[in-house]
Amino acid sequence: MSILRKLVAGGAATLALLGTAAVQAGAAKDEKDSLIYLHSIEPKTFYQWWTQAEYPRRQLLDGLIFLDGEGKLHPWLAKSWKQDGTVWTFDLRDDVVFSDGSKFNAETVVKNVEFWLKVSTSVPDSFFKEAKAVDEYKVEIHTTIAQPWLANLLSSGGFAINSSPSLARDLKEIGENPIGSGPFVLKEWKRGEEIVLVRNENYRWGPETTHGGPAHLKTIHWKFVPDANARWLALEKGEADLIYDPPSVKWKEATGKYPTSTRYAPGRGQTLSLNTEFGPFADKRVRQAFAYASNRKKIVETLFRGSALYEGNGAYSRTTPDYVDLDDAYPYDPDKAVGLLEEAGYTRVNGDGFRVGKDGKVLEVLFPVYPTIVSPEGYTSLQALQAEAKKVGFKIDLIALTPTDLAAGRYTKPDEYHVYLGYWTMYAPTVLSVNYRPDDGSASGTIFGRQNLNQIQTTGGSPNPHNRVRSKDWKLQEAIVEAHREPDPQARHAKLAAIQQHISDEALALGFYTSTYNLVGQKYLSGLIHNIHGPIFYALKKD
Amino acid sequence: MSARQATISDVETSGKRQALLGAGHVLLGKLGQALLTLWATVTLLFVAQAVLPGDRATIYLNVLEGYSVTRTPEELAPINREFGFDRPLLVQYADYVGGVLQGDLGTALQSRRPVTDLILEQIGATALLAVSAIVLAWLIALAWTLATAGRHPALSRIGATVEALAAGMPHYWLGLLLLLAFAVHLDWFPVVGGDSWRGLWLPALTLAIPLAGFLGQAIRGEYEHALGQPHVLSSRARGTDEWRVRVVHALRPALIPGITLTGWALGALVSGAVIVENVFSRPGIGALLVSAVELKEFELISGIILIVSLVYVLITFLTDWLYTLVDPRVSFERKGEA
Amino acid sequence: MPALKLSLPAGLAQGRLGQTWASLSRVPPLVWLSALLIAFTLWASIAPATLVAYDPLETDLANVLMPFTTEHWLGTDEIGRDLYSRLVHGARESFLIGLLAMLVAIVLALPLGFLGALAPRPVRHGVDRLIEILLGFPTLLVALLFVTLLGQDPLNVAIAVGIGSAPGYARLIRGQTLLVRNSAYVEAAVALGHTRAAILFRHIVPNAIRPLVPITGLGVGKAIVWSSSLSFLGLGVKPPSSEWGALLAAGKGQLLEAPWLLVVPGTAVVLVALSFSTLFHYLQARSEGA
Repeated sequence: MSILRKLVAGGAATLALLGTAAVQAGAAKDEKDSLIYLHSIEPKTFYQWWTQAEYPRRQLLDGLIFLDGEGKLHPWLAKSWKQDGTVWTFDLRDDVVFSDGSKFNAETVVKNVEFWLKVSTSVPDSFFKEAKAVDEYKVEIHTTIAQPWLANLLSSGGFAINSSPSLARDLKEIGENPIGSGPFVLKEWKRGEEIVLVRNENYRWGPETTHGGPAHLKTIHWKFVPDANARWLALEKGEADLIYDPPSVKWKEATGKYPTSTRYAPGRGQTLSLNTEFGPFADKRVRQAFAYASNRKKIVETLFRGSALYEGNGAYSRTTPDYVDLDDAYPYDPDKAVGLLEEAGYTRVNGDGFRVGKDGKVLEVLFPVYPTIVSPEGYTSLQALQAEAKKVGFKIDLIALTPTDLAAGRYTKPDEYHVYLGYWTMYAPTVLSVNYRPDDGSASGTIFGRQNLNQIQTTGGSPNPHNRVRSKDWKLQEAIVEAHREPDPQARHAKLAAIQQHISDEALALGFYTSTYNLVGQKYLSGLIHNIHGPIFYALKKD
Repeated sequence: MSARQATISDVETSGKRQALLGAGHVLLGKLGQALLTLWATVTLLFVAQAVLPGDRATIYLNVLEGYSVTRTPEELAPINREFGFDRPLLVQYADYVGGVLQGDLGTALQSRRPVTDLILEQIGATALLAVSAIVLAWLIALAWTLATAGRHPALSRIGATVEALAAGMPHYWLGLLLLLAFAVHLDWFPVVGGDSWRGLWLPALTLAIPLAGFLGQAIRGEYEHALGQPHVLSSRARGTDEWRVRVVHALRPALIPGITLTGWALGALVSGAVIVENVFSRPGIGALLVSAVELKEFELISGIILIVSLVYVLITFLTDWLYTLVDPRVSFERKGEA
Repeated sequence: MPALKLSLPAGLAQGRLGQTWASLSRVPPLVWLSALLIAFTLWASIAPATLVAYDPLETDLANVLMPFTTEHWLGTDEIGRDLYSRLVHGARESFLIGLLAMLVAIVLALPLGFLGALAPRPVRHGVDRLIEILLGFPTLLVALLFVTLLGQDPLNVAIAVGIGSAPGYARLIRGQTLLVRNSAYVEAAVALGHTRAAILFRHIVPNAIRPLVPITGLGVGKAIVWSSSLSFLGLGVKPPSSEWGALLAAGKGQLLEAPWLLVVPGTAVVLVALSFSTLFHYLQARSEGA
């Protein structure tokens, strides 16, 4: 008897506890100085050269240059800057203190540039060479060629400034607890659930156009909720103040009901890079046939419902300087596609409806899909692409890679993939150099991520892992470099337009959909800074 | 109908019952058995890690760097040296066992954090969920049994059918239905529960309902059987209060199979919790496990399994002890050869 | 082996189905229904194209997220694929995975079970212990462990689920074998001086295996649920395959706009699992002569 009584009593107590707690739970809006923000992807570490790690890092670390929501550059840690050929000179603020107590000066910038150079091959591919301190608060950044967009690049979260002593730690610690001079500091990282940021009370160096002092919010609960429906429902029920990426089917409703903010990432949107070296896409006609047959625009409109847009430019996105609209380059035209395929020798159709080439080989396309780069909705769009391309006889093998496959380097060998879907976020046409530089065996590349980062560094990062098109076209790379060197903006625009047109004409890469940052917030929020790199919560207020 | 599912549950539990070994002077032996179990678990897990296909150092490097490239031996050598992958297997094994003894379950390759820390961070949420589910399941099962068993045959049959249905419910299915009904449409509970108490209700119920079905099936047969026993009949004849008859004389002995099942249910609860946490976007071992599988963080998966085994061994002791409380007639004795 | 002696009533161990569904002539409608559903699933697995009007991968971008209509009985998904066609085609994969998982489980469990019952004492004890230890591992965790080891594809999911559920069946076989070994007719055969091999193969093995048939049927239903759980977590079969767990996982994304994309495949899994358990419980009760 006693045990039963205990069980019942215990159960009743638990129920009572659950009941009271139910009454206590309050809505997000009542906490005036605390923000509940729901995001999708949780990075493994903050020091990844990846937008998903940069979003939260941006709240902790300031940049040299501030990009406002309208796309204008403003002073931040750098008071002014100027370019003179391959040398950029920055005048720095002298009143900035990091959260570890160290001071910000020219030496800090030098240390950070050295760090960036080690961290990603894309940094040398953006023509960074070195940094030199001129005096305590004046620093020069040297580039290998004239780099007209260095200020643009520096405005992104990737190039945010760490405290100089904090970079002497091993990467694990840098990744777990980055030390910046930003308006917030990291209080806690509850893995799998949220990161908690608290206000930096000593903050006095907010960027130009902002209020300058400490942030308005005291606390930010940056929660990770991978499921878009759950994020949306939480917003609807007042459990969250602000959410990232609502479900596409709710996008229209969201824009009608709530304040929303949309930004299209610079660099390259979600783009189909076709392997021009191995497989069926080595033939330009087959690439073009795929472009005509894939019905990309209709798929994007149907599936994303305005939450992301069709992007016809495979070279780079609409928010990148000197962009050319190529949305009409390859309209949906299955007949044209069939004609091109027959011209390319795929004249027969087998029993399953797939085309067969002269050599008897089926027109088969290997398409590995990267889970960290393509969202579930993106994966659905590829299933639609697969079905559309089948109508003219393409057999597309979608291979949903696991992060492990990805990590093990599977499907990256030259002949293991024929098409790749991915974005590359970078606020400059320099993204072309990252994506199209052929392998010369001498490019600098780095290995990072190890505990003893500063001891192990290798060079020779070839082949260029970001050249998914497997371009071997040195003329193209030279044209890209030439465009950077061109001092006259108008002539530069013409050169870059020609490069984009060339990439489109050759069908090296096909644009698909924009890499989009959608934010939906409650009506009582104000002061959100949302630039094309992502949101900044510094000036955010709840009324 | 009642015995229908009970046959399955019996398939899965009778052996467990036999694993619950004697008490008293056998205590030491039991401790030995438990330690043996844990040792074998550690060994099995180590063997599984050692035969992991794919190069651990390559996976480690690529995930951290966000690239997907094949690696040269020169690049891998320092990683192998650092983690000791290049040592003889026996040395690695001794190291692993030694570590486990000191509560060190190794380092998760990707986050480079101790597995013990990672698990400790998440285990609280899962444990709370599991315990709440067990309590809820017992309350539901007891109420249901008392309400439907040993009364009109039709009522009893309905009761048993509902139990069978509940026991067979896949967790994801039940969870999604509850989420749709109570969080989305009725708006009684939050959608993103986090670690709030209010957010615990639906996940706990999702785990509790199938468990209650199992418990109910186990209790029902025994309970109805006990109601027909002479001592129950005679006490009823003496005019003892009907509730007293049902609860004290019939229900109490019927709890034994239920308690056995609860011990066994731990495994099912952990499996269920992984899914339930996914459905309700709850933190806990489930999310940790899913990401560990995706990233082949074998140390982490092994660590989780090891912890679960440890808890399982402890629970086994506990259920043993509960037996003697519930039904003093149960005596521990050493059985000879089966 | 030392064991806790418990006096459980026969009802728990054997089932009183016999009393409920007494005779051959009166097979309950529920069992018929279950058999019908399983037959339908089987047909769908063998010749899905005969049951549907659409290609399961064919998209119709003009008709997305359609509710139930006469053209699309169970509606369409977010790129206009016909859900009914996908469900029917998915039956094959779900069913095959379930079946294969069960086979793997039995193949692993048979030697363990027989060794645990019939081997010389030290071996027997070792095997007993091993089974008990493996039973301590939650099925899903073991399945995840092996999916990690083997990689995520349908075959590996089946193997992983099979390994995960093998210990339960091993113990079952062991128990059954012990029962037969200690039974009167085996004692009689021993008394009659039959050889060990003859006793083993003529008496013990067939009698120990016979009850496995209904158990296997029950197991297929459970294996379908486990493997769909893996797919649901995103760790099993991936779209565009329309394996039921994969359908469920994909349907979760449309929870708010088109809940049927979730409700329909979920119901299919539950119904098929229930049918398997209903039908084979019935057969089990029958085979026990009740």
